[in-house]
This record gives sequence, structure tokens and C-alpha cells, in this order.
Amino acid sequence: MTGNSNKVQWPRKALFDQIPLDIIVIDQDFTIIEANKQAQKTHPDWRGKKCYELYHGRKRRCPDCSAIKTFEDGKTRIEHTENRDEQGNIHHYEVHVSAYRDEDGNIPYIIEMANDVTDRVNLEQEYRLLFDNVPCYISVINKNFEVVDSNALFRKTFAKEGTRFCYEMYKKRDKVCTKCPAVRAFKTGKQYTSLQIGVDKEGNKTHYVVTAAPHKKNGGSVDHVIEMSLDISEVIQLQEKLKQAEQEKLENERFAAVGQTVAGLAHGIKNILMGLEGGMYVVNSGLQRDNNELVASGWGMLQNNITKISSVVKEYLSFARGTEIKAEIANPVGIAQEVYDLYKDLADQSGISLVADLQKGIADAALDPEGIHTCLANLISNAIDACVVSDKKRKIITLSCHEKDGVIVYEVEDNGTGMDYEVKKKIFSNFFTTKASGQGTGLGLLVTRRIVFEHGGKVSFDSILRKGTVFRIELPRDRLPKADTPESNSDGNS
Amino acid sequence: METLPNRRAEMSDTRQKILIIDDEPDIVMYLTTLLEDHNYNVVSASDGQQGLELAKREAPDLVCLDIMMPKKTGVTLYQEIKTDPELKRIPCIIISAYESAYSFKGQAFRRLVKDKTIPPPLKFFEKPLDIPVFLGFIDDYLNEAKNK
Repeated sequence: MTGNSNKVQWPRKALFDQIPLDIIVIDQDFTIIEANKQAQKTHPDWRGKKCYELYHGRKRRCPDCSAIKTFEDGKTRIEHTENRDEQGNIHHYEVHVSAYRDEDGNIPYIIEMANDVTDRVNLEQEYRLLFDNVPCYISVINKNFEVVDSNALFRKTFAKEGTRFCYEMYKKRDKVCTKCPAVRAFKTGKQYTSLQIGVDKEGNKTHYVVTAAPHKKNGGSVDHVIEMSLDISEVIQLQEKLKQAEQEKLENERFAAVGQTVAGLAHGIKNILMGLEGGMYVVNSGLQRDNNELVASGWGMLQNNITKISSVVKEYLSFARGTEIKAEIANPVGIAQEVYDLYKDLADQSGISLVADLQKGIADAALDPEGIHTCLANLISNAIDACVVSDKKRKIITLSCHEKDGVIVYEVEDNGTGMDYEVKKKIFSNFFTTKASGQGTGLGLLVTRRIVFEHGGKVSFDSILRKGTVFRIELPRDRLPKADTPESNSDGNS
Repeated sequence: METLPNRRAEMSDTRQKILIIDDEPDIVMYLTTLLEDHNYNVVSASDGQQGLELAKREAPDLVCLDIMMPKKTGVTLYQEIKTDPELKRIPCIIISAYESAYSFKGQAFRRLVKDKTIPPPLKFFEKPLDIPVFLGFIDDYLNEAKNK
């Protein structure tokens, strides 16, 4: 042997011992004839033992032994095995079984190199556990929309026996769904989220939010999409219940308004009735006293009250009939601006400065522009009246429109007379008016409130006697009616 | 509206005086004619402020008061009359169109009068008036008061 070959042999032996794999060599009887240091660490008593004896505690060869096959055909095989160490812990191994051929091509030995993959296996098990128990449906689909993997919750909920395709499972359809987020994820390689309605195994509707995440092996094109769906059926049910409750509340409020209307009408008619009775009495009294002046006064009272009753009946009818609001996409500030332009001069003539404080950039909303116009006009008209009878030097009315937290707010503020307790209590009753006789029917605020209700909003006010009053209309966007002209549709994908 | 011209005004008027306070001219005209026909001296005011001034100036034997009026409401006026040392002895009748559901009668009216030492009004009448009952009550009350 030359010095050179010694030098070559030396590192090969070291390599055999130091490679971080358990390496053993077995002969045709499965007796271990060589083991590296790594293998000796776990099994120091290897010498002369059979591999099945040492590693599996068996007396005979293992069934499905890869070494038997490799002795026959010389092909390299990979097998997965597990065994316990001295402390009783289970270890998982990935074993490369390969043939050693002699110069004649025979296979006297097999080399088994075992890699301890316990950590990887444990990690995989953890992921599987997570995958199966996460409270959402997970399915992995390939380009043909076949479900190639899925978690336990998905299978329990959707996977009927004999189904293969995601659309069969999620929706009980026989072809790919329209607006499928997975189709888009395959196409663009981006993630999509959308709201879907599926059908579970029992045939129940299931609402879920699905996120379709593309998966690219080796960074190439998308070969799988992982669909993760969160069941929101209960949320949807709650939402529907809430909607229903709100609808019922609105109905009740309408019902109460009708009751108030009837009571208010009775009140208005009583006053008129007394005027008519009074007119008759005064005419009679004038005739008896032979006083023409008194007769004329009584006659005037009769005429006056007959005019009043006809106007009350007309207004009452138009109120009772009501008008369905016609919502269209309109700009909230635009409506306020129109009302401002209309009343500016009238206010000026009465010595009142009407000021507009309109927030810029408020987005369009589904409103009945005529209805909102009527409401603002009623409030401004009331504010003008409150200022006219006030003795303040500088009379100001501010019309403002702003939006906060998705609520469109209109305010009409005046520094007029303000209201005392009794007036505050009654202001939404119809036919209630503090205006001089013949100047108001008392329906304005009631009409305003009805229109605002129809928009899903509310009317409120603050008032301090002699300081002034502010009326407020609040319209939450999510309660507004649907516009007759539909908005451009967004498909709900992120 | 100023006081209506007193059609039977004489210097030596011995009739009992009634003050009507109502913002409805028709009601004032009606009650004035009615009460004058029944031999009362009637003065009237169309709002609370004017009513308070007249009550002081005319020292009426009875006040008929409407609830819902501009400037000063009936309840406020009633409170002012009943807390004024000069006026508090004047009996007051409330006439209102409010029916029981929105009633200012009894308890509801009392709740509005914040000072609980103020006595309740003499009587409530609902519009339209039941004339025989209304007149009967006024006649009986003022007759009794005269003979005291």
C-alpha cells in the first residue's frame, strides 16, 4: 500500500463514522456486520445481531422488508420505520436501503442509512392537528377543482361520499361556480376573499366567507389553491333577526304616529267646533240684542272656522294618505344647499341671517331629495318663526350638514325664543302649534319625523328657553332605503 | 288683541268681573258674548303677558285660562298668578282642548306646576264647552263668593 492510498482511506472511515445518519451493513442472513458510530450510540450491542432482532425486537424477518427486495433486484428503496429508544420514546426514521455489489455484480451486503425524522414527523402531526381542528373549513384543490386534501371539519360538513370536486361538495353543483374566487386565484396568482352560500351534507344553507390562497410549488405557476372558509351562518341569522326587529320597531312607531294623528285631529276639531258653536252663539246673541256689529262678528267666526276645518281636513288627508318616499342617489349637501338658497332671501327680509355650514366631500346616498327638502324647509321655517317673535338684536339660523361615523347629520340651529317644558313635550303631536291662529297647522314636525323615519333615521332637538333651539336629523347610512336606480355593483372580492 | 270694547261699560258697574285669556280670537269673542249675556263684566287678553297685566289692573273675580298660548303658556301664567301675593287669591279655571290622553287635568297638570305648594286650579273645562255646565258652575261659584 502506498502512502497516498492510506491518506485516502483515512477520511472515508471518518466520514462513515461522523456522518449524522445511522448506517449499518447487513449480510444476506440479515446479520449486522458493520455499524457506524452514530448507529452504535443507540445500539452499542449490535455486534452479531440480526437487524430485525436489534431494531424491532423480532425473531423473524419483518414482512414488507425492503432489504429482501433490494437483495433481489439491487434497487435503492426508501422506507419509513419507527422504533423506541432505551427511554421508551418513539423515533421515526427514513431509511435508505441500497445494495452493495461485488466485482461479479452479486449483492453480498445491503447498506441501510437511517435518518431520524422524528422532529419533522411531530411537526407534521401538529400541523395536521391544527388543520383538522381549526374552526373553519379547509380544502386544497387542484387545477381540475378536485379536492386533494381537506380538514376534518370540511369533510364532516360538506364531503358527501362519492364527490370529488369542490363545487360538488361546497354547493352541490355539477359544474364550476360563477364568481369562484379559486378560479381567479389560479388565473392571477393573487389571494381573493368572497362571501358565499353553500349547501351542507344535510342540505342546509351555509353562509361562509372564503379566502382562496394560491399555492405555487417551486415558485412557478399556481398548481393548487387552498380554500379557507369561515362559517358565518349564525352571524347572518342574527343580522336577519336584527333587521326584522328594526322593521317591527318602525311599524310600531308608524302605528303610534297614526294614533297620535287621530288624537291630534280630535284636538284640532274640538277647537274648530268650539269656534263654530261660538259663531252661532254670537250671531244669535247679536240678533237678540239687535246688534248688527255682533251679528257680523259671529258670522265672521263661522266663516273663519269653516275655512279652518276645510284646510285641516285637506292637510290631514294628505298626511294620513302619506306618500311613499322615492329614494335615489343624491348628494346630502346638495339638498341642504338648495333649501338654503330658497330661504336665504326670506330670512334676510325678516332681519335674520341664514348661514350654511356644509361639510365638503360627503358622498352621495340613497335619499328622497324631495322628502329631505321638505324636512329641512319645515325646520328652517320653524326657526324663522322662532326668531321673528324673539326680541334679540342679532338673529341667526345655521343650517349645517356633516357626516360622522357613517351617519349623515343635518342641523338647523336658531337663537330664537327657545321652548319651555310644555312646548317640548308636545312638539311632535300634530295640530300642536304655538303660532298665532291661522299661521300653522301643526303638521310640519310630524311630517318631518315621518319622512326621516322612512329613511331609517331620527329627529331630535335641544332647546333652551330664550336661548334658542337646534333640531337634528340623523340618517345612518346602513339604514337608508334602497335607491330606485341601483348603485354600480361591487363583487365583494378583496 | 286689546280688551274688547265693553259694550255695557258704565262707571258704576256692579257686575262681577271675569278675565278671559286665550290666543284664539274666536274663543275670546264667544266667551265674552256668552258671559256678558249672563250679566258679567268681561275683560280679555290674547296672551299670557297681557293677561298678567290685566289681572293686576282689573282685579277680576275669576280668570278663565287657556293652556296652549304663544309667549307665555297657561301653566306658566297660572304659576305666576298663584305666586304673586297680589293675585294669588283670584280663582282660576282652565279651559283646554286636550282630552284625557294628553290631559292637563288633575295630576298631569299638577306635575307641570313645579312648585308643589301651588294649589290646583278651581276647575278644568274641556273644549268645546258644555255651556249649561260651564255657566252653571260660574254662576254658582261667583254667587257664593258675592254672598260671603
